[in-house]
Amino acid sequence: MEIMQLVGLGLVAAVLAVTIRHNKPELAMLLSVATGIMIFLAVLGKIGAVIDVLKELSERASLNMVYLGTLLKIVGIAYIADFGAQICRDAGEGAIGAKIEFAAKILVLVLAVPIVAAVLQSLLKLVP
Amino acid sequence: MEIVRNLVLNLIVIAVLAVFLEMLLPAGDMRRYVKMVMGLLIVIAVLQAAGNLIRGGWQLDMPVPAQTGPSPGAPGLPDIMAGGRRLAADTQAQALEQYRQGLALQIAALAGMNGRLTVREVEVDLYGDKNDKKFGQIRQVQLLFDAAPAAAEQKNPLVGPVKVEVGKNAGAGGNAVSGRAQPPPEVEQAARRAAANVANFYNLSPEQVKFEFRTAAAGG
Repeated sequence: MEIMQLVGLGLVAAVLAVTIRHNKPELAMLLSVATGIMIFLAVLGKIGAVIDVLKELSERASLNMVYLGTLLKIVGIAYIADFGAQICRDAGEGAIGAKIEFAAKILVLVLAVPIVAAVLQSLLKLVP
Repeated sequence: MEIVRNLVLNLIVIAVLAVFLEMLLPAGDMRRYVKMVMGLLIVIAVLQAAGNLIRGGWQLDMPVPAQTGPSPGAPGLPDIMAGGRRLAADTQAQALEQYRQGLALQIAALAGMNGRLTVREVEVDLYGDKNDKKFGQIRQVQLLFDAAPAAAEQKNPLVGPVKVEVGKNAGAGGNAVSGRAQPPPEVEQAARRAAANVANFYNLSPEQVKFEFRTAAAGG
């Protein structure tokens, strides 16, 4: 039961963080970051299987793998930015968290530019 | 049909992929942005498939109608197709014949505009080979005039010119002999001009329009 281990890890880390936050808030923040990284590494192997399924689906749909790669990158950017922004908010730096999310949005839009161009190209091809 | 089936399959797979990816999305504010990109991807996939369909690929992909088993009394597919080809050929031949007759009437009217000539018959020969690039064009026009001037016929239209050749078998028909005749020079000149007019009118070379004179035959 992997989920029990992960939930246990999270609860222990949460109790520890609450305990030390009054005296050592910087250590509490580092503890939450470390816990988040550990949980992420624990499920990293499972994400590989999910991505393999997504690739197979996109091949069956005759979807260009470049687009799927772009989409996965965007999902990764969203997760990392969300993770970082939450840590910043936990540390009481909501403004920095907002900036991280802003940067992530810009990066997502930059990655989406080739897809927008492909949509336009497909539309133009339809015009005789 | 196959391409439509593939299109539907692709759309189903893309929808499943989108739902699967949506579950992976983070819960925060970034979700809307990632969903927008996913929507664009789906639009691309649908446009690509629809583009192939619109460009006519589905027509090439359509199989020849298959008949799994001949129903009793019904002709087979090859017979139906052969009948269709025969029908098309017959219709085309009829159209060509009507066109030829119409041309003959036009040419007869055009050649008969000269009052000195009486047009007895016009034969129009067309290119009839479908594979020929000149299909339907005029190959040759044969004009047949009366040897006698039209004015003379108007004076006595019931009696044609009689040509008596002594010592030759006149045949059972009596005294009228049909055949080549030598018209008066002015009539021949008028026929030459009429042939040139026809050639000019139908953009033909002078060699393609021929004429000759016949004496009036008995009973005809």
